[in-house]
Parts: sequence; C-alpha cells; structure tokens
Amino acid sequence: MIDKFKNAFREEAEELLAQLEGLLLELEENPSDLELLNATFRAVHTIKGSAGMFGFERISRFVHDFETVLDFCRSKRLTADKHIVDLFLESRDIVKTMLAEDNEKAPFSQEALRIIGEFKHIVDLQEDPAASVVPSPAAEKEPTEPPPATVKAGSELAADQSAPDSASTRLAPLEEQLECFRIFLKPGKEIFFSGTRVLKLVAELSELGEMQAYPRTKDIPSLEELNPEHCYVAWDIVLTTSKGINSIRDVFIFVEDAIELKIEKLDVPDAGSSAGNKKLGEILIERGIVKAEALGDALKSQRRLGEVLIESKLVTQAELNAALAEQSQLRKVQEKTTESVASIRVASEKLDFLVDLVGELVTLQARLAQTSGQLADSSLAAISEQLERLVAQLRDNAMSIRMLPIGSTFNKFKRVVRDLSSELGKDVELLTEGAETELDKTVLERLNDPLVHIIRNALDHGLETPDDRRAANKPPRGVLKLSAEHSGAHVVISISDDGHGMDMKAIHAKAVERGLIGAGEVLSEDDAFMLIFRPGFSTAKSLSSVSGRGVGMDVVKREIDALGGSVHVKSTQGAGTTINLKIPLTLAIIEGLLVRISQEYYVLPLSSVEACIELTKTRDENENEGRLMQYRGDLLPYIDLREFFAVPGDAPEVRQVVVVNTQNEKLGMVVDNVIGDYQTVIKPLGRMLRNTNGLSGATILGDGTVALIVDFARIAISARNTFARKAG
Amino acid sequence: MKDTSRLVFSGALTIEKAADIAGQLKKALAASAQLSVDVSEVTDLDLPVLQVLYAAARSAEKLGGSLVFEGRLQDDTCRKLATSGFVREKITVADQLIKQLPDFPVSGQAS
Amino acid sequence: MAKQILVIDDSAAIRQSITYILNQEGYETTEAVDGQDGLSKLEASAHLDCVITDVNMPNMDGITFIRKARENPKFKFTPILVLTTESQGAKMNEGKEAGATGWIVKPFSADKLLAVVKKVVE
Repeated sequence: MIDKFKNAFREEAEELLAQLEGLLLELEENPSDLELLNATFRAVHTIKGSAGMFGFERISRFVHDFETVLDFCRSKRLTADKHIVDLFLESRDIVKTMLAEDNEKAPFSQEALRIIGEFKHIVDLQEDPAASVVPSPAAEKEPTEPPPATVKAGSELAADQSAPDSASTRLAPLEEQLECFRIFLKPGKEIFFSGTRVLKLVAELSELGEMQAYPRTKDIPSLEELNPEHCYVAWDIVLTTSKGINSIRDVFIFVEDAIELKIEKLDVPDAGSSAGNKKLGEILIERGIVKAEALGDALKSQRRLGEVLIESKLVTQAELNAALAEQSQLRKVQEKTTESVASIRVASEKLDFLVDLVGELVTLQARLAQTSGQLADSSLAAISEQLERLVAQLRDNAMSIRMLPIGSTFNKFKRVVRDLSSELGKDVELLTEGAETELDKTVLERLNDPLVHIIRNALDHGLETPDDRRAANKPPRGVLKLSAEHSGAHVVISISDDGHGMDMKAIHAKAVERGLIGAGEVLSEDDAFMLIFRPGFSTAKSLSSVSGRGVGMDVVKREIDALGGSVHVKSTQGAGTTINLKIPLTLAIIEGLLVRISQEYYVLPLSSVEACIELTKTRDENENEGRLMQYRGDLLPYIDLREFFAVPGDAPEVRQVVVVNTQNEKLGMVVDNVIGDYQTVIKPLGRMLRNTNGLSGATILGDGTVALIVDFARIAISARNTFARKAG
Repeated sequence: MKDTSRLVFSGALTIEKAADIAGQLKKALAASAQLSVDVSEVTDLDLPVLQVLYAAARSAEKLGGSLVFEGRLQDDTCRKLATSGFVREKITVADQLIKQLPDFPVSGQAS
Repeated sequence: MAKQILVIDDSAAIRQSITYILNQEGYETTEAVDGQDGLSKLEASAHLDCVITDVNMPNMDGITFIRKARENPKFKFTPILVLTTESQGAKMNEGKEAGATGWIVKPFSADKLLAVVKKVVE
C-alpha cells in the first residue's frame, strides 16, 4: 500500500511473531484454552490482514491456511494437538524468514510448500470428510516433488485472494453497450439502523447513467402510525447504463439482505420496429400495478388510458408518471442504439475514391444524356432522365459522407479565446451557433488557420479592455460570436465581436499612406473594409505577437479565395465588426464557368467571376502594349489564356474577357468563347499535368472531353511578375 | 377560518432529527389541522424527515386540513430531492413542493 | 467542515495508513487501538461522520463495539464500516446484525478504501 508504513508493519509483525511464539508454546500445554486460541488467532489474523497491504503478499498467501486451521481449533472442530502446534510453530518461523527476506519474487521454500500442503490437507478433510477415504492430491505428493505443489498451492491461493472481494473487482462487461433496466427498490423497514442513507444509494445509482426515479409514497402512514426511524418509501427506477447489471448490484452491496431489489433488463426493440412504442398498459401490467382485466375495461373508454386509470383510482399519478418515464426512456435507448450501430469509421481515402467514382459516373451520365438527345429515342431518354436523378442523389449522398460538423473546430477556439484574452487583459466570452453545420472535411481543415487569424485579430484590435468597455457604457465582458449556417451550396461562417468596430477614416488614411489607393479616391463602405485584406495593410500600430505573426489579414483572404470562398466585412464604429466567410460546402464540386479556347475547354471557378466582356481583335491589338483595357472606367490588366497555356492556332476575331476578382485585384482572362455555368466534380490532375502552372484540376465533360480547371490565384501571381518584368 | 400552525425547521434534517420533528408536528396538529412548514433554512432534507412530513400531511388531511410549505427551497436540498425523484424540476419556491412531491396529500378544496 | 472519522484497529500500521489516506483526502481522523478505546473516543466526540473498525481486537472486539455504539442515541445512525478479511463471512453477518453499515476487505488499496468511505459518508 504505502511504503512509508512498511517499516511500521515490519516492527509490528516482529512483535506479533514474538508474541505468537509464546502463545503457541503455552498452547502446547493447554491445547483447549479458548482465550489462548483466540489470542493466537488474532495475532495470525492481524499478520495476514496487514501483510498484503504493505507489500508482503507472499506472507499473506502463506498464512491463509494457517489461519483457517487455527479457526477450526478455535471453534473446536479440531484439537490443537502436538502435530498441529508443531506445524504452527514451523509456520511462524517461515513467516519470520519471509519477513526478513522481503522478496516478493522469491518462490516458496520447500518447507513452506510442505506446510502449505499439510494445512491444505487438514482443511480439505474438515470441509469434505469424504476426502479422508481418498487421500487428497496434496497429501499424495511427496515433499520432494515441489513443482506440482507449487502450481497447486499457487493457483488455489491466488484464486482465493480475489474471491469474495467486494464490489469493484467484478468483471466489467466486455462491450460498452447501452442497456435499459427497470429497477424496483424497496428498502427494508429497519434499514436506517444500519447507518444506511437510502437517498445516497439512489444518488449513487444515478451516477451509472441516465436515471429516472419514481418514489412510491403510498405506504407512508399518517403521523400517529409512523415510526420516524423506519423506511416506508420504495422506488420504481428506470436506468439506462452501459455499465452492466453488476454495477447496479454493486451499489447495493452492503444492503443486499436489507432491501428488496428487483432488476429487470428491458428489451430494447429493434430500430424502426413499432414494438419500440411499448404500450403504457403493458408496462403497468408488468409492474403489477394494474390487472389485465381492469386494464381491458379502461381501454374500452375512448379517452386517454392514463386519465381513465387515475379517475378510477386504479393507479396514482406517481405510478402513472413512472410508467410513462419507462416508456419514454425505452424509446430513447432505442434511438441511441440505432445511432451507435449506424455510425462506422471508414478510412478517408476510401471516401475520396468513392467521390472520385461518383464523379466519373456523373460524367458518364452526362454523356448518356447527350447521346440519347441526339438519338431522339424516347425510351432511352426516359432511362437517361431516371439515371440522372439517381446519380444526382448518389452524388449528394457521397458528398454528405465527407461532411463533418463545424462544432469541433469551434470548440478548439474556446481555448484560443480564453488564453489570448487573459494574455491581453481582456474579458471575452465566446458564443457559438450552428455547431452542427456540416462542411467537407478538407474544407474544414483548411478553414482552421484563417479562422484563428480572424479571431486573434478580433481579440487584439476589435474588443476593448474591460475598463475601456465600461468607459464606453458597454458591459465589461466582450462577446465574440462564431456562427455557421447553410446558404445554398455554401456555408456562411460569421465571426462577430461587439468591440469598437473599424474606423473608416483610419483605414482610408492608412490605405493612402501605403499607396493602396489614391488620396482623393472615394470608396464604397464595403470596398473600404476590404482594404484590410490587401497585402501590406495593417492598422495595428505595431506588430504585436498576438494578431500578427508578422502577416496581415491578406493571408485570410488568400486562403478563403483558394477555397473558392469569399469574404465580407460589416463594421459599425463603436458597436463591433462582423466578418462573413462564404465557403463552398465542398472542394470536390465547383460551380464553374465553362469556356473554350480553340478546341480546349477550361472551367473558371464561378465564385470569383465578376463579368464577361467582349474583346475585338483590333481593340486587343490597340491596347496590346500594356495588356490593359478599359473596364468600368478603370484600367484592367488582362491575360490571354491562349498564350498562357500555349494553345496552338489563331485567335478568332471576337473573343471574350472573363473578369475575375482574385485577392481583391481584378484581372481579365481572355478566352475564345464562354459556354456557360457548369457544376462539376473536380478530379485531381494526372501526374503529367500536376506541375502545370495555373491549373488546379480537371473535369470530364458530358461528351468525354476533358476540361481543365483554372487556378486564378496562380495565374494572377505569374501575371503580376510578367507585368513587373515588362515595366522594369 | 382556523388558525394555521407555523413551524420553522433549519439545518440538516437528517434521521437524527426525525423523531423530534415528528413530535413537533404532532403537537402542532393538536392545535390546528392547518400546518405551514418554513424550509428556508433547511440545508438538507433526508428521507426520514421527508417521510415525517408526508405523514403529517396525511394526518392533517384526515383532520380536514393540510400541510403547506413556505419560504425558499435551497438548491442543494432541491437537488437531492430531484435525484431521488421527489421533485421533477428545479424549484426555488417551497410552496411548489406539494405539487411536485409524488402523491403528496393536498387539501380537498385545492385539488 | 471536514468530515470526522474514527479509526479503530489494534495494528498501528493499518491504523496509521488508513489515517494517512483519509487525511490526504481531507477527512479528519481520530485513532483508537481497540474496541474499548474506540468506545471512549466515541463518547468523547460531539459528532462523527463515519467509524471504521477492525473486528479482531484485544479488550473489545469490533462487533461488540458496534453493538455498544448503536446503544448511544448520538451514534444510532452513524455509518460504521468494518475491516475484515475474506475468510470471515460469518463475522460479516454478525457485524451486520450488530448494525454495521458496510465493510472493507483487507488487503485494500487506498482507492478502494476511499471508494467505500465515499459510499457511506455524505
């Protein structure tokens, strides 16, 4: 148990052994002196009881049968004759040796094994007189054959050690399975006299799981007949636990014979089966509250069973409530079991593969639709339409499998907010909403960093210290709210704080100072707020360790763009800031704009597309020098994708410019032809194309042609480099 | 209208107090069948005393009166009663007890 | 207020280790070396939340102690735990009849001792 008491035990044991020796010698003279026998027993008993606790298991095991035989002598079943007293004395010496050795790992000595064998034999004879006819195996064994004796003695003694131990050693059920139990608990009248607190037992039971207790108070008499120290209350309990029936019994281990305890395991009906709704009447009959005939009569009435039964005084309100509780608890367990069976873990690659296959299927279905349209075969068209619906469902389903609730991501931020606010001397409460909103797993993972960044920013720059808040007539505790909700094929995540909001003037001034805008430039409120996401913009007076890591909010914007999402800021000075992130549900499917260059197809992510305008050859040639064109009174840099991807052939007379907005910079992309909106499943690029600049994936069109997905962000970067080179 | 006997109990009402409380309630019933028990100062209400209160309410009912509770119910006391199923929801006002306690005798007029 | 526990055992090693474990957990303890001593310590206490007693002790054994303790109205309902070894099924029944609340089987670990104490002490 505790090493520091080991010495105390050793000293005590030495004393007891000395005492034992004297007692045994006296016993030899007076073998039937009860006082003597009792004192001897006590000494051995104490040694045995304590030895195990202070790390002398071996002594405790050895002394076990010594004690048993002593007990026989004490109860006059045996006489402490010379032979027995000799054995006792020898045992005492062995204990003394073992105590001095203090080596738990050492095997029993030959003498010890012989004595264990002899004691066993005596005990066997006492407990099973038939054994005297057939000599016990222990007696048969020659002392010169220690190995089998070791095994026997060892195993039996070891088993004995763990046998009638109390409660906690019982085996736990192999599987944690939710089970529902109906328990009837009726404490005996005199239970209080054993110092038992009945309500404490009920409370202990409630710790095992979800419990509803319904006391039966009918037996409490009136005051004149009441013995205030008797127990009159019984309980109907419904308990749902995964800990098994033994853990229920263990609660009552000390009062087993002072209570009436009935535990019935309730069958949890299979999911979906109507048997799940066990009838109230059935439960009342099973509980022995209502008789079947009486129930039949009550059921004839057209009114609710419960009301009828109470009115006719067949059940009390409490009894009815208890039965209703059982009914509802059963239903709950049924739901939970269904849940636990319904959820399985799958390697995410398998899911990716599934989504991949579904993508192919979508493509193939599109080809089928195209072909059947061309063939004008009505029966084929019907099949194709049916297949289209199925495939759409399959696609949604496959996508939904990869969806995870955003709640766990939100939870991670609790710590961030807590630590950071205390570091900054601020008091901030984090509220979350829509934790159950689901997003594609990969999207969720990539959202983490941008969110941390925004939260840090809000805590550092948005929310004020308690003193400042008080001065501004706000509650000292600031609120940071994270919420998520679905909006079509997107999820909108908002991060709002009730801090001091953004200072439009300061932002404007800073942007001018940084050369991001001209001094006289007038921006809409939205555009002004978006300035904070421009590279090189930071309104923080210094790079604090908190919100910076040396980078600004531009990182957030870049990440969200890469996810195909968008950022929107609302801020009211003095009242707080809200940043909305609109994120596509999944990365595997994009809404795109299908375009064509020569015979090749490309998909531009729709979320970034702002407009399409025409570009005539002459206009292009005129403006070719700077690759800049007029757009909404502004100069728009543009890139010829035909050139960028080195598509062979001549450009047509009239082409289209798709204006995209990437990282808050507008850029034109020149293509031959814009075909239209297109929802597509993205397939990763093959090894050949993986390193191609400006492409992020591929998709297969209805007729089998491959379309490549354009990665604006990359193109913009290389374009910027090109412009820079030209300028320099 | 009969006078109401008012009793105020305080502290932990454990089994050690059960007999004493039963005696006090008996005396009060002898004076009036209308009992009012203030539990504001009660920090623990264990089963034996709860039984005594039930019994007193039954006696009062027989005599044509009733037993009602007064004051606030302390949170810990309420929690203990809730775990063992004597109350089904958190209550703070003690007069709610008679509605919550299963099959607690309420005066005929009230029900 | 710390819970008060009386620990009765003739083995100083056992007594001290129980006391040590209980003190670590914030219980306050009184020690007694046998039933007789236990009884006088009991009489001297204003209130006890629990008593832990060994069975086999010189002067007065644990069972007699429990019987006598229950005669005192102050301790009529006090939880009393009996220290016992598994070989004493009969003793356990005797203990229960005398008014014991529960038992702790020797040898026991600190966790087990505390689990049983928490089971009976409010």
